[in-house]
Amino acid sequence: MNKEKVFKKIILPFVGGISIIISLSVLIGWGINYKPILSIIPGSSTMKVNTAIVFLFGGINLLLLNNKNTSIPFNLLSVIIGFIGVFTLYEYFFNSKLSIDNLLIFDKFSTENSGRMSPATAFNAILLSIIFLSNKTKNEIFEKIGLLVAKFSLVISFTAIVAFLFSIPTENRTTFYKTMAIHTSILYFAQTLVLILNHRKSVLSKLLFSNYSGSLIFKKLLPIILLAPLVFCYLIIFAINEKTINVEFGIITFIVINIPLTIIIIGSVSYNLNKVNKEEIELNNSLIKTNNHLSLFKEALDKVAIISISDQNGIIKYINDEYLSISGFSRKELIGNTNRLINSEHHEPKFLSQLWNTINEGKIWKGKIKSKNKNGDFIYLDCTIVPLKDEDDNFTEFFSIMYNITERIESEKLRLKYIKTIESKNKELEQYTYITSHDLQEPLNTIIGYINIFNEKYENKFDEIDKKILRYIVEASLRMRLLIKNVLDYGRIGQNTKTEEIDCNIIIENIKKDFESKIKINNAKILYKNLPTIIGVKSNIYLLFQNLISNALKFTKKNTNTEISISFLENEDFWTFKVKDNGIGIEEMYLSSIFKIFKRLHNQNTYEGTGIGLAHCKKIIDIHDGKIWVESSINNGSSFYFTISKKIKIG
Amino acid sequence: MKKIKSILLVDDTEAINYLHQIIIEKSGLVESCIAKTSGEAALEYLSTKLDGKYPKPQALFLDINMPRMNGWEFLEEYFKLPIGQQADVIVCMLTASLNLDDKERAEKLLGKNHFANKPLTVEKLEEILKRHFPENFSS
Repeated sequence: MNKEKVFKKIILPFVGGISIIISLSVLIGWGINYKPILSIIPGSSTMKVNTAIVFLFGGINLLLLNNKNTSIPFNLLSVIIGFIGVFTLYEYFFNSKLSIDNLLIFDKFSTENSGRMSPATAFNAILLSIIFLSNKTKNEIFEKIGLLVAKFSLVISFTAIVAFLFSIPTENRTTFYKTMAIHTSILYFAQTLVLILNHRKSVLSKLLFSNYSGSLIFKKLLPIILLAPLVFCYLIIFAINEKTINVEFGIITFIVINIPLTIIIIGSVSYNLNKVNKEEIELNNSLIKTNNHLSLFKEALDKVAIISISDQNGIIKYINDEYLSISGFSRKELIGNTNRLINSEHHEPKFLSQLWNTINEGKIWKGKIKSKNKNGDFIYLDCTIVPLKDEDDNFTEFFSIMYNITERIESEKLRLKYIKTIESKNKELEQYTYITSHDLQEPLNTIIGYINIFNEKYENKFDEIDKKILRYIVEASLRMRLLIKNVLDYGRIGQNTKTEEIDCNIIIENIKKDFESKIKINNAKILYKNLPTIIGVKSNIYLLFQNLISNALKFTKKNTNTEISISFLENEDFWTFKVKDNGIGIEEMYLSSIFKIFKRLHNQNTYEGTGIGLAHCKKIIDIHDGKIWVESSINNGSSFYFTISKKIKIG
Repeated sequence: MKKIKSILLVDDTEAINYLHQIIIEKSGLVESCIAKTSGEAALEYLSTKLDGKYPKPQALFLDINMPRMNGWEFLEEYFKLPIGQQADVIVCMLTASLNLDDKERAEKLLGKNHFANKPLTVEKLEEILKRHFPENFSS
């Protein structure tokens, strides 16, 4: 409950209730002639019957004050209060005795003006009436008058209270205050005070009920500034009355105590205020810093992204320059309209309704949007929409950040198109190799066949030169057949993609059988032990080992027993195989080029071959996600290494 | 007419060398013809004195597509030889005219008319020799 509510619900009725209780008690006091309740302080003035009535009505009015339906009784009571004051003052002025004073109960205690309230009380009754009326009026001037009057009333009642406090004897008081009782002045003070606080234009209520630093100071200082002089004054006057100190010394003492005390209090409050102020300034500075930071962020974001802010109906409230340059629309065309880039006609209503459902739930939406710019060109946007909460936790603003990904999408499309073209071209090429190789073999077989017949038929008639020429023809034809076969094989690698488990030991065993005669001639040994089972294309792996072993058997050193060893290393991701021989080796400068197709290091007369074997190996290894390389030097044998990936799956 | 003194044939295929030798002999335009089956062997031949003299053939017919040292690599080494050991004319022998790159490269390196397509014929040989040695054919 805030302070204003506490005041209206508790303090205001409390003061009203107390007023009613006291005034009723006084009325009863008059009825049964019980004096203590009439004057409270023995020997001082009594609260008169009419005054009690004023407070009774005032108390009732306080209870009615914030009730809207009671303005008639409220105003009536207020007017009666005023009349009581006016009549009493009239009596004072014209020395007439209207029967109002002792109208209800006769005052037998007062020595003069029996039953009549003091002029101050009567004046205050008039003021109270005005204040009551002004509290419920709608007339602004009257409201102001009410407030002004209230201040007067406050001063008068306060003065009366002070007079009582300092026990200024009745005879020393001015006539004005002469017969004002202590409870009269307190009730006046209390009623006026709550009326001021209840007043909607009151500065005091604003001071008391707010939490701003001014109010805090006011609330802190008020009790001390109010009480300290009263307490000191009271003590000093007591001392003067007891004749302990004289008047001059009393006044000086009051000043000497009161001024430094006030300075100390104000000083300490001001110091605290400075602290608060300092914190405020620091906070403000950090706020400025944060703001600068944020504006830098915004600037950066504006440079790279297309930014817009829309309301819950999709109406654009803000767009950045990037939005303009991408969309081609002007700010005028966009602000106040729907988000043209997002609400492009390209997407189905379902797509957009899903988008709205997501952001209305307060979730971030992310997605790709196909849109059109003003020129009608398609653009692709990578879009993120962030819902923003307002003070009531509703999602009323949507912040969208978009990136133009048109180029990326276009190039992706182009890439896919190229891949397709390359794939089909490759297929064509494979077909081409296969068909041509096939067709080339036919005439060649014819040539070889006829030469053989020719040779048999005329062998006896040929001289050495004829025989040499014929031998060259046969050799060239056979070589061509081999070349064609190898080209055909090369084209075929990669056609078969069926992978399976391959026991390398079995592969080597079979290759050994293939090369049985060559092994015998070379007196060669092929050494291997517990080779692994790998996954790959069986025919390819076979060809790979066959080519490497064939090379090792081909490029042998004279007068040396050929030794070929096959070993492997296992790694987490792949196997590394090593095929080592003790042959002629390879010159360092050729190590990098030997895997190229048709690359040969030797003359046909020295070592037969087509220069395609290692190209085969390279292609096979490429298919199996591996690498192939060689370590060798001339006359020191060669070691061929290759890796086979372990990630290949069966199928 | 005056016969061309000597021609050096460089080709890794023995059968081709033999064929070219037969054709050159048949043409009757050349006194002697020597064949080598690799660039290295040819370089060694050119830089080795025979009877106190470098052989210095008048023409060198060079195969481009050879294992190990191909025709281009041979030429690189060949141009490092002293002029006194180099032949007067070099003719690149190209396998058909499939590879236009090789033709362009020969033109760039040696100038026009320094290539011929395999296999050599008597007519082709005569045309080449007439172009490069006109004084031999002048009378």
